[in-house]
This record gives sequence, C-alpha cells and structure tokens, in this order.
Amino acid sequence: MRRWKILCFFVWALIFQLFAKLVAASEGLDVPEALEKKVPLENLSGISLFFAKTYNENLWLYAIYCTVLMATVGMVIALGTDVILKAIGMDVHKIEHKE
Amino acid sequence: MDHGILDIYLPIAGINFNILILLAIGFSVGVLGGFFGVGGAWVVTPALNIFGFNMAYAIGTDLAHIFGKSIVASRKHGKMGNVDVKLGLLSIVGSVIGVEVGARNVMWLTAKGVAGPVVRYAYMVLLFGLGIYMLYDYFTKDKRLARQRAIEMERGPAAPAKKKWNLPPMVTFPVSGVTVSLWTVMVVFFFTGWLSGFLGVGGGFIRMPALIYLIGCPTAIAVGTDLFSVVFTGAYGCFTYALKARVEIIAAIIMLCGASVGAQIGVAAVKYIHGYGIRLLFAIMIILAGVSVTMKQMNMTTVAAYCVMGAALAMCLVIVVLMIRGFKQEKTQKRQKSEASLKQA
Repeated sequence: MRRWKILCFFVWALIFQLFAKLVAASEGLDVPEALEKKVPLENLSGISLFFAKTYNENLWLYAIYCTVLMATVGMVIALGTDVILKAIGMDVHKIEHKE
Repeated sequence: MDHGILDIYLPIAGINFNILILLAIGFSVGVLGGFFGVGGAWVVTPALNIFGFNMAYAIGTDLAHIFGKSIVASRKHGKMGNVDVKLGLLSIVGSVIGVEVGARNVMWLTAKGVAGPVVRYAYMVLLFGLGIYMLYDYFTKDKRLARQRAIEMERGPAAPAKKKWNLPPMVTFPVSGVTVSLWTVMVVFFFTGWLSGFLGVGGGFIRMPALIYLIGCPTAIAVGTDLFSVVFTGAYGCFTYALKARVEIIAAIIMLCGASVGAQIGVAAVKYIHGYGIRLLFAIMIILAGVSVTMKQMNMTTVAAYCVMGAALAMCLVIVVLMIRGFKQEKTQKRQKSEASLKQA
C-alpha cells in the first residue's frame, strides 16, 4: 500500500511538472493576436458606445467586462426564472435517478 | 443584410443582425444544452456564420453565451441533485492537461500539412461510433436486463460487480454513487480533454457519454456534472476570446436571454424523460452532427450548417413536446391523487 502511495506521489508530481512545462511552452507559442481593427464610434450611443470604446482602448478590461457581465446576467436570469417557475408551479426539486 | 425593423447594429462585429434570429438560436441551443449537458458550439457557430457573422466572432460570441447559459442550467440541475461537484472539479483538472496535449498534437499535424482531414475524419469516426454504440446500448437494454434477471433467478442476487481496475487511491463520489480509482477518472478526463483539444470542440458531447459509460454515473448526473464543467471551460473561453477581440458582447447577451429560457425547458425535460430516453435522443443528435461533418468534408459547407441547425431545431421540438406531455401527466396524477385523498376523507 505504501509503495502505491509513493508511486502515486511521483506520478502526480510528474503530471504537474508536465503541465507546468506545457503552460510555459504555450505562453511562448500562442501569443494572443489582438485584432488590429478599431470599431468606429460615430453613430453609437449608450451601451454600444461603452462597449465599443472599451474594446478600442483596453482589451483586458473588455475581456473582464465580458466575463463578469455574462456571469452576472446568467445568475440574474437563473434567480429570476426560479421565482417565475415557482409561481407557475414548475419549480424543480431533487429527482430520483431512473435509467 | 437588410435593415429590418428588428435588426440591431452590433458594433464589434460591424454588422446588422436580427434580434429574433439571435433569440431563436440561443433558445434552441439552450434547450439542447440543458437537456444533454452540452455547450452546443457545434450548432451555434455554423448558425451564426450562416446568418452573417465572421467565423472568428461566431466562435468567441458563442463561447461567451455558453458560459452564461451553463450557469443557468447547472444551477437548475444542482437543485435537482444532478451535479456531482467533486467529479466535476476533477474533470477540469484532467481535461486541462488533455486539451493542451491534444492542441499540441494538432499543431504537429498542421506542421505536417494534414491537420484538416485527420481531425475531420477523427471527428466523423467519433460521432458515428459513439452514436451507433449508444443506439446499440439502447436497443439491447431489455435483452441485457432479462439475461441479468435470469442469472439472478438461477444463482440468487448477484454480488456487486467487482471493479476491473482498482489501483489506489480509490475515490468515492457519493452523489453519483460510484467508487472508482482516481487513475481511471484522470485517464478518462485526460482522454476526453485530449479529444476536445484535438478536435477543437468544447467537449461536452464527449464528456457526457464518458461519464455514463466509463465512470458509471446515472444519466441525469452525467448531464448536470458535464454542465458544471462547462461553466469553467466556458468562463475561460469567454475571457480568452474577448482578450483576442473576438466576442460580440451585445449579441452574446441577447443569445443568453433566449438560451436561458431554453435551458430551463431543457433541464425541466430531464425530470420527465428518463436516462435511456436521454441517451437515445443524444445518439440521434450526434449521428446527425456526424452527417453534417461528413457533408462539410465533401465541401457542402452551407448544406452541412443547415443540416446541423435543422437537426437541432427538430430535436428541440421533440424535447419541448416530451416535456409538455410529462408536465401534463404529472399534473393529472397530482389531481387524481388529491381527488382520491378527498374521497377518502
């Protein structure tokens, strides 16, 4: 049993080392190629202007906005639909797993 | 594209796009995603592309909406007890390493100049192979059950099947009700990750059957756990594609609205359609996806995209109809029960 544990430890160490190497290698190879295109801001207003401006000026910020916004909208919709479905009697509970 | 009344200007992609089309694409892939536990990129990307999105934006926008949709769907699956968090987290570790190795293999094939056909043929073999195996599994289930019962009648109740490979450390997943070697779990997820990195897909449609057939999860838990993993891969995909300036956020939000409604229906349908029913529909869907990839290989790109979209819409309709039928049956049963209890009183 102890021998297995030692073997497992070494294999895990190897996997993590391999993973670290792969990540390091990928950093050198896959440099993110930001599109050079800039979005024209004329005729834009409101939320479109806000996103287009961020997109043009700071892609890191744009990526953070996208990720956070999608998570927030997802959570809000999930909570909102929970309330609506409960009201119309389609609320879900734990189910029995039948095959 | 015409400037119709429901068209909206998408500044990042630089095109006018119909809101109803975005909502419809989102809705149909939401139903499929919630029901099968997949991201659905294989439907959304060609659909967006057909209607005028540049391919680079189609992939990024799709991944962003998948992230939001998987949050909605996995929350609901969680409420139904279909998410095995421990297994889901382990799947991420294994998959990440696999994806990286798979991507590197593709780079090697690209350098040799054979990546396109090799990947497409591998994709076809996988889709048809998996689909046919699942169909076989579905149509022989009664025979297997009868054989098992006959053996039990003859020799008494069978002892639980002994694990073929019980290399320590063994891990127990109480939600799924399985105990397997950690190595089995890691090898399975490494393999599914490798396939998704190699084929350039999200991997939900590979992980879901792998969880059922290789790990031994019940179907509904495989669906929920797969969606839980998609939350993380989707978040990474959304961030990295946005960083590469390829996410049209306004389109993604509109699609997410449609997808969220669809996902609710898809997840609720899991309550009314049992494990083997889900497997049968999934098998049909991936065989149709395989037909679409075959068409692509024969340079029929537009027909292939319409094929996968048509299949997705048809499957969506089947799921919605089955869900409504199940809901009505449940309501009738509840009414009958309450009437019976009133009579008794």
